[in-house]
Amino acid sequence: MVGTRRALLGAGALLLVGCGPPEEAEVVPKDVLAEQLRVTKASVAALEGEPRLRARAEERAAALEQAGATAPDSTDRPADALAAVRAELASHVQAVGLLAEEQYRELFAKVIASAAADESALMPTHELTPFPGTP
Amino acid sequence: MNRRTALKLGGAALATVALRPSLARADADEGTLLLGLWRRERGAELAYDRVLYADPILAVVRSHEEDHARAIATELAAVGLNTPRAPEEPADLDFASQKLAEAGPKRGDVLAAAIALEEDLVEIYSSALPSFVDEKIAMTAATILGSHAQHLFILREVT
Repeated sequence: MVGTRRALLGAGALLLVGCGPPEEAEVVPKDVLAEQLRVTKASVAALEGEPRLRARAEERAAALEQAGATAPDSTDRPADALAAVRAELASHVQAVGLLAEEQYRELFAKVIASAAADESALMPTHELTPFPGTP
Repeated sequence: MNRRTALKLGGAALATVALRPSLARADADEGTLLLGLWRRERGAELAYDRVLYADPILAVVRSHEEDHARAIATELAAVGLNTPRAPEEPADLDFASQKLAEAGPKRGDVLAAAIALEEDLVEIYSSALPSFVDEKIAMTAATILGSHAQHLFILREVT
């Protein structure tokens, strides 16, 4: 077993008080896909003034819907298009860690590449980071 | 990992993992992929290094490749693998990186080769993503995929 002294002590303390490690929340693919579609639709709404980018966001939404995602259309129009696309990209990167099945990973690879390109279209080059979609 | 991805990543990575029978199968598969990706990032870094004069954006891209390689080396360590010797000469590189390293001196030729390299990297990361079992490694690969998609977009814009 590999672990730090602190981690081992912590694990021991948990066993002594009769509770194991916290249970992980169940991941429901339908919910994960719905969230991906929700954030993508927010990008679509935010990109109203950017027809080319909006069309690409609509393509991402269509791909998610084709995979079974459902979500209502965004009712408001976020003022900050970059913030919306950035939040969308971060959500897609997180989703990769939640769903490991091949069909989901292939879908996420497509939407990540597309959303990342759109993020770079909305920001100055010198602000690009090597790890987009992460905090 | 499909055959095409494995071929693109190179036999060296496969051979390195084959020498470590103690690795669990899942770790070995992830290790194989990570070694190949690390080698591609270091190769891209070396290639960009040779053509930095062609456009200021290439220095930004090169620094990202270096950061990617460092992040992948961290994940390699997590599955019990050390990084092998990095490529040092164009002859050590994969085809796309070699083309970029030798594309100068014309700016247009360099940018065309850089675009081809980034297209290749986007495809490789997209193909590799379904194969990662470890969620943290998968997310690292996902964000690096996003970075290469951004490089591709910007390089096409400046061409």
